[in-house]
Amino acid sequence: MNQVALPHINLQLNGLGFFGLWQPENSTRLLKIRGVVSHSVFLLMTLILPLLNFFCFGEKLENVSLHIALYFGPNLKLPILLFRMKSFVHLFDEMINLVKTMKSKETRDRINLKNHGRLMKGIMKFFYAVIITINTIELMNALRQKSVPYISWLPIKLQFIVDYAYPLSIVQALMVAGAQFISISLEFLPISFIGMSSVLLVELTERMERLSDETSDEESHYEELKTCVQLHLEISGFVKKIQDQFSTMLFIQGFLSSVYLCFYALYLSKVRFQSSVI
Amino acid sequence: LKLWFVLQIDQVLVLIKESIVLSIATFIIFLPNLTGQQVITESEKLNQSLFNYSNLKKNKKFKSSLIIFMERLKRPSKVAAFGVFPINLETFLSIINMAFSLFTAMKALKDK
Repeated sequence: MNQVALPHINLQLNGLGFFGLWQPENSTRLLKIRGVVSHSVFLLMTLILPLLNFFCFGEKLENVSLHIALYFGPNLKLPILLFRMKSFVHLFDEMINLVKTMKSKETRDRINLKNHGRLMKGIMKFFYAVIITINTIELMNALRQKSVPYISWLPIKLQFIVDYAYPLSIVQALMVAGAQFISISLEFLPISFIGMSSVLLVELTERMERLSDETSDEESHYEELKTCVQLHLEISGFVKKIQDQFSTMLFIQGFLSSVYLCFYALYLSKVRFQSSVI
Repeated sequence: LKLWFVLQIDQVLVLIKESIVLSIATFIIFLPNLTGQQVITESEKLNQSLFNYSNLKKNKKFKSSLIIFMERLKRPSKVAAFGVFPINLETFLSIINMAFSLFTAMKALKDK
């Protein structure tokens, strides 16, 4: 079922699993170690290096603030995911069971579910493509100028950067691309779960609209109503569990996104075009 | 003239890149709020779907169950961050407003 109807969640969880950040119950210790290593290499480093540059090497705050604002959120959210992995996996299993339970003769074709899955998968693919494109452009520019893509958060002497521009650029671009990939996947995790609950509610509405069908007998009507009440209780419980699991992540996401937007607007207000300087 | 064209292309590329990043950042805030809003809207539709139910010739047991269910459906399901801030489109607008206020305050501080 999840292979067919939940392509976006499969894409997302496979991506997180590649970095060892989605650990099903039967996962090996190696996968758990890979998760911790990925967290340290991709996310912690993209936050610690700019901070180190700011505190120890006197880099201006305005040059590193954007990176810090961007990667602070994922660095807070990822430990929540890793520490509460069992609950997240249970929630995922519950969602799969609920999707299976909702299958009835009325919703046999699961059009809503499939459309939602396709749309979300398309959006996620678009985001991943943007990550690859932007990082490739940054890498090309850096290589052309014998520099690195994000020079302000590399606490190394300038001469060293010029001498080893090629390997440093590639390492930095890969690190940033990995961090952005993890960051986007983490942003999409609550979206996928909340989106699925809304689709399940749509299916329940469709099912309830068929209650007014005059053709069936009284007893089967009552049985159908009982099933709808049961399903509604299950979906409500599922939404409540989503809130319990994701409330901190959603708060961090909302608050830090507004901070990031603010810093980004500040950065844009500083951008001067070269022609006006000339 | 050639240099001017090169600079113009550079400007356009920078502008495109920055607009894409800004739109993506805004879209990422918008998406969870949109899905949260959908949950609220769909929950409200559940009640509406039963309200449209016209077959009132059923027995008392059925009708009383229906009324109880409809009462229960009056409270829509919703997701809230920290159990306090509801995830809906109003919250999205508040976030954008907050970002803009923060930006204005920081810019004013910087200009001083």
